[in-house]
Formats: sequence, structure tokens, C-alpha cells
Amino acid sequence: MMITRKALPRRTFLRGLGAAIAIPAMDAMAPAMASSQLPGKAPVRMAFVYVPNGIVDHKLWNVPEGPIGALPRLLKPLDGFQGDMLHLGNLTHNGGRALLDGAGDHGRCCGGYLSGIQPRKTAVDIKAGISCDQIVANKVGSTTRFASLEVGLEDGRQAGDCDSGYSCAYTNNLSWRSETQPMPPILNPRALFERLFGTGQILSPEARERQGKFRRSIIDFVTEDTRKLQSNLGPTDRRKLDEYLSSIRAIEKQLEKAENDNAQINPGMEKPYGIPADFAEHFKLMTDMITVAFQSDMTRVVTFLVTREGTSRSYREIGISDGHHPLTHHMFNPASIEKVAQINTYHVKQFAGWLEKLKASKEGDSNILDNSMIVYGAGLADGNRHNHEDLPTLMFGKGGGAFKTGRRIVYRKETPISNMYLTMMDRMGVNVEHFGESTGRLDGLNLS
Amino acid sequence: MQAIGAAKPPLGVIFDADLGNAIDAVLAMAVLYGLDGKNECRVVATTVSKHSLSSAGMAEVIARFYAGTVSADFGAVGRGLPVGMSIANKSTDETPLLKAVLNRKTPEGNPVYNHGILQLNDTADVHAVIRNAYTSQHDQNCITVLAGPATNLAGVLGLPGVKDLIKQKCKALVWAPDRLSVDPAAAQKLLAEWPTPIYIATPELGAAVKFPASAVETNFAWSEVHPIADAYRAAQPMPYEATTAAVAAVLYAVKPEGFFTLSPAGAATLSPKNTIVWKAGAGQHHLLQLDPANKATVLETMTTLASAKPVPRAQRRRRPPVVDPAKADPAKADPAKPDPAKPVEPTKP
Repeated sequence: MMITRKALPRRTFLRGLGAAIAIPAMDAMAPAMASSQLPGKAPVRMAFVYVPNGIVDHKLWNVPEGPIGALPRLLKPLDGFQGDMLHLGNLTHNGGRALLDGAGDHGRCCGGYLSGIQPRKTAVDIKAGISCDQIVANKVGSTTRFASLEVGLEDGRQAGDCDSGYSCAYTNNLSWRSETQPMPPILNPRALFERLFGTGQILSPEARERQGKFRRSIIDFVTEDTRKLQSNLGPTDRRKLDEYLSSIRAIEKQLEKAENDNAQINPGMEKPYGIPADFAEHFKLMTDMITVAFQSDMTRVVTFLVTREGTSRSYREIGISDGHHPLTHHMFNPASIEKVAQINTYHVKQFAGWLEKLKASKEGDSNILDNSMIVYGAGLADGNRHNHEDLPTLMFGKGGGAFKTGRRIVYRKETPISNMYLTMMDRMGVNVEHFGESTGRLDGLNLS
Repeated sequence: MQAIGAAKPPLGVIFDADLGNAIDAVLAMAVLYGLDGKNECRVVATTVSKHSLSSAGMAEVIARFYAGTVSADFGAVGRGLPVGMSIANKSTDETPLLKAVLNRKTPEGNPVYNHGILQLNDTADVHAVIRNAYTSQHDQNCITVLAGPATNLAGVLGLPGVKDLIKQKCKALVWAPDRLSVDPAAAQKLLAEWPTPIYIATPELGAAVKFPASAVETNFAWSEVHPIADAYRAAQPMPYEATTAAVAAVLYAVKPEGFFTLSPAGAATLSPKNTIVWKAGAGQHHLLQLDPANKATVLETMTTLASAKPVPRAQRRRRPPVVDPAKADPAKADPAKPDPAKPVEPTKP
């Protein structure tokens, strides 16, 4: 058989009037035979803080149904926040289960956590689902400088196999812009700082206005070339090109927003240098900046992957040199169980520090925490058993006065965690009928 | 995607019934677990179509009786499944058969048949349970059995993507329609939208093969306490013969050869009197039919399976090493607390 179609050169550019855009790798570049909010009110924010490897024991996590009183061991650092908490029971992510796909609970549970689906088992052609934070970001993000922020604390690969055939993209990202586009978290506090506040160079309003006059979308300059290229691409490549150009446009919009914003934000902190060696310091730096971003309404949507799902990070800061993941498979060894309990509590302690700041940040008669929905949760329930029902799920904040907090609510078994996402999306002003595995909305959260 | 190299397990059965109204559905569940014990199928979901904790409790009593509480603690497949319960069709009535089983006490005043369904959140979101059960089945290796109103299955059809999922995973629906006046809209929806063939076990079929009271006194006598026998005795004044449409539905679902035949294809609709009317022609609805020559075999199979002894299953997880000091020292152990790793015998009154 003779192949006559020429492969697209790897170094293909979309060209226009003085503009050239490099395009991402596409199938067509492979050799032909290669394998195939309400005005006047404080905005409502949502954030998801994800901890890996589940928790060690639900007995150390759960509280009795009803008003929350004394906290169990893993939640002790949250003492004082009982009144801000909704402790939710029996929420399930069915897509995290094997469902005939064999091993890979870590990849599945994180890759589909915020989309409520089961990711495709692959290390190459990844496919998950758009996550609920991105659905909200698409709807309300145009009103803020950043549609959403994705942050994390642990470096990780974005490609390759990280869990029994599941791509590292699944274990190392929480937020997904589309089925195939994860949103890698920003790990370096300096990078987050510069993204939020620029390089630190404060331009005069005149200088910024001068810059704006020359601003026009680069995509506009290459329209003709884009159309020609699209006619030569297969459906997969066409989708990839669309997504790529959309992401360029999103970045442009963010830049425009930053430049059009007359009030430059004073972060009130020194620019950080690199990634701190200390976990707690790293956590604090990132959450300090998220707090500023919430305060200044730079964004209303945040995902925070505390560490990669399935991580084997050690915690020498608290005297634990074993890896987190191996410890969770404790074989009922009391010493290992104790260490996992310490790691779980250590995470909660850092998180409590952030809640303090949010609660201390006043907004009129209220505070940022009250005007937020901050979910602290995991995609695995028990890290040893790898089960996906009764996921550890806490929600903090009243969502702008909508939720009656201070309670433990146990839902019916198998209640999809997607039902919680639907409820949160409603609160963010994004009404969709179904999402992920949803079978309805969560009852009993609202004040009325 | 399905794991390469993994052999298909026995047929998965999703069983939905308005448990508690008639002994037929209770016997059907017994037959189902009898077939499960013979490894001819796996019970992958049990759900009840009325809003009644007693009904859900009954489903769990039967499941525990055949599976034991051990497997539930260890999360073995098909065991310890949460019972899905409808929150429509609210029913506060405790029928005699439910009361006979759920209220039966030992001389010490403890329940003879334990179950864990005391409040609403001990049951499961019925639509999620059914949908999730489909997602975990190999293609065309699952069948749905419905006894009674169609409330739950019609609800599941309302979830996005579920019709395609059912078509992919499920061979057929076998239905013993009963009490359709409870939710006629659901029956209509099911008949109009269910994406696989529907095999209907009519009340007439159920009346043609009657489960004899004598079998309850003989075949079930191997156990001093038996929830199916207790339910049977309480359902109607003894002795009586119970109709078996739901039992026939289960039997056909798992063993389509050798017991019943099928009518030609046709279309079933709901009459104004809320009964099923079937007409031959275009459609994928069939009626189950009984060859009189098979009647004795059918009856013998039903009674044998319904009264089959529970089959102990291997634990899927190793027993954990002893970490509890009380367990390490038997002298400190609480004799009232059952050892989760030890098989449990049915309680004797």
C-alpha cells in the first residue's frame, strides 16, 4: 500500500499579520503509518482541598449525627470551627471503583473526583471529565481576574503511568478544563505570587493604559491560517487545536483583565523565593495567597491538591520517615496506623490554620469563610481498603448565608458526591440538571 | 473498558420488589439466593420499591440469612450490599409477614433475625444503587428482575446515559407485574422506554404453579428458624398455596432454558384497570409461558432452591492480625461481642 498523504511538520505555525502561533503536537504530525453573584453582596467562593490516600480510620474521623460537639482525634485541630462545619457522611464516588478496570484506585479516585466520572484507564490518551470547579469558572470566571486557581504542594509528572496503568495526569491534577485537559496545579509559591501579583513591578495607570492600546487577540491575526489548517485535520486534531486556541484566548483574557484592573493588589507580603522545604510553611504560603486572592476577588474558584494522590511523601517534619502511601497499607500494624493518623491530623492542622485566616478576614458584618464553601475531602475513604463509599467530606462556610453549619449529616448510602457538587454549583449561580453521577441535590444543607 | 484476561463471573442479578406485600416476592428472593449459592448467578443489587424501613429490613434479613454477617463485614462482592429503598410509595403498614420476621424475638428478648436498617440513612439511594450495579457488570452479563410496581426502574431511566448503560450491560428485564395501581405512570414509562427485551411473568402464570404449604414444613425444617418459612406462615392463614409469578421471573432470569417458553414478540401496555395487556406484533415484550408437562419440574426446582441451605463463601480478605488487647487475651474478650471473622449461625429462639 502506498501512503501519499504528507504528515504535518512538527514545527507548524499559524501565521498572520506579524503574528505566528506554534501549535501543539497533533496526530497529523505523526508519520502516516505510526500507531494511531448578587450585586452589593460579598461574592460566594468555592474551594476544594484534596488530601491523598484516604484516612486511616473512620472511627477517628466521624462524629455523631446532629450538632457537632467534641471532635475525634483526626479533627482535633479544627476545635473551634465546629460551628462552621458540615460533616457529611455516606457520599460516594462510584467512578472511583474498579468497575471491571482492575487495580488503580488512586488514579481513578483523584482523576474523577471533581467530575464524578470514571477516568479512562490509560497512560497515554487520557480522558476524564470537566470538573465542577471549571464549570463554575466558565460561568462566573469572567467577572474576576482569574477564572480559577489550581494550586498544590507536591511536584509530579504529568505523563507516564502513576498507578496500575492510570496516567500521572489523573493522580497529579484535581481540576480538568475538559475531558482531555487537566489543569496542573501551581506548586511554587513564587510562581503563584507572580501569577497573582505580577513581577512586583508596579506600573502607573498611564503606563498600563499605554500597554492596553496595543492589545488585540493574537488569534485574530491568524484566522485565515487556522481555517486552512483545520480543513486538513481529523476530528481529534481539530478538537485539540480548538482547545489549544481557547486556552491561549483564556490567558489573553486573564492578561487583559489584569491590565484593565485599575486597583492593583497589594499582597501585603514579601515575594516568596522558591518552594519551602517545610511542608507547613509551604501550605501556609499558598493558602495565604489564596486568601488574598479571595479578599481582592481575584478569583472565586480554587482547587488545592495538597499532595499527589497515592503519594509516598514522607513527613520528617513530624518525625515520620516512611512514605505516606506504604503506611496506609498498614496490615493492621498499630505503629503504622499511628503514623497515618499523625499524617492525617497534620494535614488537618495546616488546613485549620487557613480557616482561621479566612474567618479573620472580615467582609462587612461577615467574613470570607462565611461567604465560602470550602470542601476538605479525599477520593478514597479508607486508605487501606481503597473503598469509595462514605468518603471523608467536610464543608466549611455558609456559602454566603445559605447553609446551616455546625452539623453532621449522614446521607443515604451510595449518595453520589456529585449531588454535593450540584448543590454547590447552584450556590455559585450555575444551575445544571445533572452532573457526573448525580441523582439529585443534597438535602438538608440549607437554612430554610 | 473491561480488564483483559478476567473471566466473566456468573450472571449478575438486580432484584427489585415491593417486598412485604405478598409471599411471592419473598420466595423469589429465596430462590435467587439459592441460585447464587449454586454459583449460577450473583445478586448484585437488592432494592425495594416502597418507602418502608420494614420492607428494606426484610431484604437485609434475607440477604444476611443466606450470606451471613461475616461477609458483610469484609465487604465481599455481592454480600453486605446496601439495600436501596424508594422514597416514593410511602407505606407505613407493616404486613403480617414483615411483622412475623422482624418482630420475632428470642426468649431473652433479642431479635431472632438481625438487620441494620433502623433509619432512612441505613438504606441506600435506590437510583444510585441500581445504576452503580449496572456499571460494574460485564457487557450483557446482567439481568434485572422486577416484582411489583415499576417505581424504581422508571426512576433510574430518568438518569442521564442510563438507557445506553442498561442496553450495554443488561440482557433483559424479567417482570412479575403486581399492584401497578400504586404507580401506573412508572409502569407506562417502563413499558415505553426500557431498552432491552421485557419478559413478563403474568399473574396467570403465577397461579398455574403454586408453592405448597407442605414444603414449608418439610423442606425448610433443616433450620430451627427460617425467615422465609416464618414469612410464609404469617402471610395468609395456613395451609395455603402461594402464587409464584415473581419466583418464575427469577427462575427464568437465571435459567432461561428448561422451565418456561416464550410467547412471540409483541407489545405490552397498561390497561385503564392497571393490568398488563399484551398484543403480538412489533415490539420486544414477551410473555413467559408454562408447558404443562414441565409443571412438576418447575415446582420441584422452586421448592428445592427456595429452601436451599446458605453456602459459606470464602472470605475475600485475610483476617487481620490481632491488635485489640482484649482479643489478644481471651480472658478480657467480651463474650457478647461477635467475632467478625467467625461464621455466624442463625440465631435460635
